[in-house]
Amino acid sequence: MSEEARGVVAEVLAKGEVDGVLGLREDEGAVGPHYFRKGDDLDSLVLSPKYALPLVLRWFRLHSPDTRVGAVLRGCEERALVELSKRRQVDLEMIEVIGLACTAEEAKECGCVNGSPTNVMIGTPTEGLPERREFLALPDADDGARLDYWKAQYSKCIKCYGCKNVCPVCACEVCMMADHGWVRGGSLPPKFATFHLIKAYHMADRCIECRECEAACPVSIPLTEMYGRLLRDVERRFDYVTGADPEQRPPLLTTLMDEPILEEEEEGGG
Amino acid sequence: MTEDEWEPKILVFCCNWCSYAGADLAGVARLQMPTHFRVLRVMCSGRFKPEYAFKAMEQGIDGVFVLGCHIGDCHYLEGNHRAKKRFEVLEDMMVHLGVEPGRIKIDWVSASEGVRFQAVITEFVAHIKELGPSPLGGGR
Repeated sequence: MSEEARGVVAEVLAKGEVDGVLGLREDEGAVGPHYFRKGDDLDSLVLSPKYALPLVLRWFRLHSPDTRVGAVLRGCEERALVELSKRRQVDLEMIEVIGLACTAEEAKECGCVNGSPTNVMIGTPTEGLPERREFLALPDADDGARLDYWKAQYSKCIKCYGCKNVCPVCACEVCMMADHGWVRGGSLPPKFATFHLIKAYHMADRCIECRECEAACPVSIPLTEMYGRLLRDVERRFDYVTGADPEQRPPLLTTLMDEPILEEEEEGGG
Repeated sequence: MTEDEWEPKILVFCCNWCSYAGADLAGVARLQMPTHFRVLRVMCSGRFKPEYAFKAMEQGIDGVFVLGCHIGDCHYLEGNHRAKKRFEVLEDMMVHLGVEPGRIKIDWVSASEGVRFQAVITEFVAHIKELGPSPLGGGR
């Protein structure tokens, strides 16, 4: 599929509607994000391993807002981009998504239910993905077994910050998880009420279920079991689906009547 | 401390413009109520964030109560809307976590409602006493 991608990216660059294309490049065995420009050698462009590019796109809005950039993105990355744009971290007007459809194996590995990006230019969308995600059954809450389950899971944490660093929608300037006022330094495991629950609360209206955090977690904490459940709650309560409509404002940033909160409008916060 | 001696510790967030004045009125009027709560004055109930509830419970607080102006009366127009929406997500989290959602509560008390302040506080303290010590205490 890399060969197909090189052809598509070359075509997009040749058309000249974008100044460059953000993708992945393999360099001496290591893969990382790279900004390809017209005339660049595209042989080093690769598609895997999966690496979330939306936070890299944030750089353009901050440091080079007039650059029109193309980006090779998977379905989950496109949804992350939508969430970032609602929080004014990226400018969708300046980004052309070159949709990459994951292969059936990749989709299965991620437990993907959401599928391909809107504008697939590379690969073929996988048909027949499950419609809804199946959650693990949680122990009963009444006798404390459910809390014990979470305590056991969260107590495995070695505070590597992998879940935060890999998350394509974590975009705060200052992270509460790294603030010693919130999470005391120098002890393991971190107290989960402030470390994991704060992260979970922040994910409730922005997680796009790429499950990169779970893939990154070295001790296999089922992080998205909590995030995913909260997403369903937010969908039920506020009729809000993350990553879907760029025009719909996040429900925690609107009034009870779904109107924008004035200070946010004026100051561009989020 | 044995089970018999346990008394709940409750944190109450009161907004500066309505609920704190309501609490003050209850005090001035010498209304009797349990003394298990500490009031933390914030400028608006919209200043409350679920993060504070987690931090408080981790440090041994058994119940968190947020009081603000009635919807429509917010000094900052929409601060209590934010508090209410955040609270709904917080309640859902408590359920998934396996902690009684009744340990957190949001309500509205205006500056003239000293009697109402007494009533909601008394009821909440009684409810937390029934639930017992918070399983999140100690934070592990």
